[in-house]
Amino acid sequence: MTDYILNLLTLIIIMSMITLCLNVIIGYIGYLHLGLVGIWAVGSYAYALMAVHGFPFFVAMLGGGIFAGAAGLLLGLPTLRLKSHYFGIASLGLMYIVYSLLLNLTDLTRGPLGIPGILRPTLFGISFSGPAMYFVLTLAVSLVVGFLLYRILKSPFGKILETIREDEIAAKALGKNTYAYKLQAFVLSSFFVGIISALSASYFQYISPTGFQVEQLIFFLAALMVGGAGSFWGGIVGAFVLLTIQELTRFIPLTPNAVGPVRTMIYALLLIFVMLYKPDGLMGKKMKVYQR
Amino acid sequence: MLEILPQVIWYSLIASAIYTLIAVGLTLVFGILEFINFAHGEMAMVGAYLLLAFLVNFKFPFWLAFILSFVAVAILGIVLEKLIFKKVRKSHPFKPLVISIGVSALLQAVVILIFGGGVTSYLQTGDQPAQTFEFFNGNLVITDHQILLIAVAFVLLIALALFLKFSKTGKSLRAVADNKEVAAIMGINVDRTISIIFGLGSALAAIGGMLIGGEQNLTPTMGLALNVHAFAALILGGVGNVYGALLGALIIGFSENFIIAFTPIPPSFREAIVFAILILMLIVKPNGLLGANAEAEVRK
Repeated sequence: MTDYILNLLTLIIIMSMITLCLNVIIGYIGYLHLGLVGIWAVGSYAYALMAVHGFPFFVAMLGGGIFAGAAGLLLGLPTLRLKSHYFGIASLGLMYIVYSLLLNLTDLTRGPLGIPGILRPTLFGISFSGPAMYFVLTLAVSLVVGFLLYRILKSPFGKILETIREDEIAAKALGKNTYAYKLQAFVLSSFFVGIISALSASYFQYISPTGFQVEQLIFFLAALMVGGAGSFWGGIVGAFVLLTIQELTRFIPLTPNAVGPVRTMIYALLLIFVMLYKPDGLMGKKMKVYQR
Repeated sequence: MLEILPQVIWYSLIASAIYTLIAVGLTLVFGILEFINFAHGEMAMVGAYLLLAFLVNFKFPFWLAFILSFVAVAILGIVLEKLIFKKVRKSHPFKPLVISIGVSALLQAVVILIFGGGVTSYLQTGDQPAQTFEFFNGNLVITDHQILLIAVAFVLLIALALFLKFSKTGKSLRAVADNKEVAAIMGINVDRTISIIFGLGSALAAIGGMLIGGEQNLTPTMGLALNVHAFAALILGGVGNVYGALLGALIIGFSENFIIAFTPIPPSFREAIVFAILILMLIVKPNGLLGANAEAEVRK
């Protein structure tokens, strides 16, 4: 029972950190980032391949971050000049392109078979494979990432990002190079998604292309919107709420085939209702993007 | 290499016809409400699955199943508009877009629950194989269903063009697309017109879905893939322009099939290719080939 709760808490922390990274883009600069899952996939595969080939944990983690950040840079460079909803469509393309690449670069990624046997690390002679120790590791890394993001978002840099969301022309008139700020924020968010990918990949110990599809995107979007985009704690609270609901659905007697679609249905309904009736989410913060 | 050319052209035509049917509804909604309706492709998917249910499970005759399916999807489109999209009509395009992603996921999940997540097909074991015609020494094989598909798409698009040009409702549709406020002042019922657009677009998409369902297998994710193609067609042709959607669909259909047939890129890159074209187009020429000055709309 304790193991179950520890595993669940670990998952909640991982998912809430990824939602936080999504929040940097959707909540702070107000761009509809639908390529998150693609970037998560790049980070996870980079980490997994490096870990399986014997790189030390933190090196592989940094590798995941760098590859994910590079993917973010590649996506952001041409598309961040577009308006929010066009950016949404273009970034969704990243998810499809990454998915196709993962399926087809079979020499590297083993295609649909995925990469099994991603071991949890042993650091300083301590094995982090048990639920309790892995929870500690996840918490430690997440606290560092969360603290860094908190400081960045509360700094003048974060304020400029919020200005871009509220009124990009005004931000430009103040002499800010908004494109550069957006790109920096995007690479930053992607880099941290890559760092967290190391935790998620070794949490599941197996990754395959099917784990990086629209279902996952819906989860993160719903988590962010339920929690409240634009508020630092919004994504974290949202992921906590959604995963708690997901665990409660275990008590509904369902056939194994129905579990996935029922979960997606719950997330989708939550997403629709929150956007219709409480668009500022649980941790509410009024934003112009939603107010017009 | 060259001997497969007629067949590739024929497949490109079929793909373009289907993408046009779906892109028309998308472009009309986009032109009026300025939001990207992610759930539009699901109308094609739901239509295809409804036809499957009526044909295979209830054993209705084909024409009845066909009419029931697209009428049901038209009603679904109108209900979604009245229940959900009407409420966010005046908000930032961000909000209806996110909601339509939710609607799309919801419809997919419902279809998976009812029909299962796997691949299905209209062709049941023991059915007659399709009648085929051969041309160019067997280099071009055409089935009777494919001829029906092209004919139906052609007739529907001509009927739509005539409807938009000459009928009173069609004129009011164009007026609302041009300027909602002025149209309302001139006494056009904007709410009713938008409902008509959703109903019409959904019905066309459903027909597109049913037609492609006879060519390929049905999967619950087919709607999203079709929507991606239709959206690329819309951007290519120019936003809010029905003829642009047709031109864009032709370009997408042909380039996709030619790239897969004549380059070593595997077919599973289909969506990736379309997205690459789309992203390129958004950067190079965001107002599309036939569009007016959409550049200010797309770029910041």
